[in-house]
Amino acid sequence: MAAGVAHQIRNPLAVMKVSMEMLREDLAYPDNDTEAGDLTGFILNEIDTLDSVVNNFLAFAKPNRGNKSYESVEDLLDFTIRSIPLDKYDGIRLIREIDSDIGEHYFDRNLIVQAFSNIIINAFQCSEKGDRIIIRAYRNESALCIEIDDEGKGMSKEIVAKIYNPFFTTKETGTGLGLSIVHRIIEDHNGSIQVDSKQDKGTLFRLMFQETT
Amino acid sequence: MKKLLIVDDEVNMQKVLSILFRRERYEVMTVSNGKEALDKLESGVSFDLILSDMKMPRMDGIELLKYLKKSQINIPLILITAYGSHQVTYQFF
Repeated sequence: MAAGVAHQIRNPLAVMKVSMEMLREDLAYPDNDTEAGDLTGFILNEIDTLDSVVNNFLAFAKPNRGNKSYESVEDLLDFTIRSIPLDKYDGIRLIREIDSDIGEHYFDRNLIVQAFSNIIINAFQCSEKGDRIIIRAYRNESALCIEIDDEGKGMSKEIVAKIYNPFFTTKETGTGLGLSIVHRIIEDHNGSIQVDSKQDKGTLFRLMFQETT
Repeated sequence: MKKLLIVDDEVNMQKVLSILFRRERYEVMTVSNGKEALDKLESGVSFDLILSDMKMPRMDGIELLKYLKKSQINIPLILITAYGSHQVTYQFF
């Protein structure tokens, strides 16, 4: 049912987005500093917001079926990075530090890509031009570690304590479901999350997955 | 001029995609589902590209893609969907 409702919302959104992109070209191209450029840009951003609201509700409503297999960690991270609209975040550097011998892990690839994606998009959203985001993947003695390390605005301890609560958000347009979904997915993989955040310095998310035998 | 067939049951999506691709100098025809697309192909009209929605009544985009493959009709087909997700993408890998 949730997927059906999502479809009913996404189709009109897609029509609105393509129409607005064409109008933007007509009205504002190539000088996007015009008022028309700003106004059409606002509408396009809001359409993207609505689309992400639908995606998050869909993910939250959907039961995790658990379809796990051994997956290449590097491929999963690269797939996730490719799915992120980097052109929306001009001037933020994404650095990839994935150990060459990182190998495989037992993941539900659909779910884990969603979890990685939610954290990385958050990192972009809280960063500014000139900041960098590092994605690391390495193994320590007993676990596979994935880190998403940003130089964004960071969070206070009080906020960090609430980030997994459904519907808690600090964003003006957020649903507050993104990190709740991440938390559930990582738990489903017997993993754990460490968050190290300092206001105005940045946030480090470390996901740790015990080696499976 | 390249010929494009748009297959979508949403009339507004048909219209907006038609405008978009006519601007890109495609000759555009539209139908509402996979079955109508096949009827069009079987009537002898040829296309350089098919742009098809996935979820449609009568015959959906995946059935259309499978039929084209099975019948060795070598027209590139791009699937579009409002059900976009990593899961949907993985189906085709």
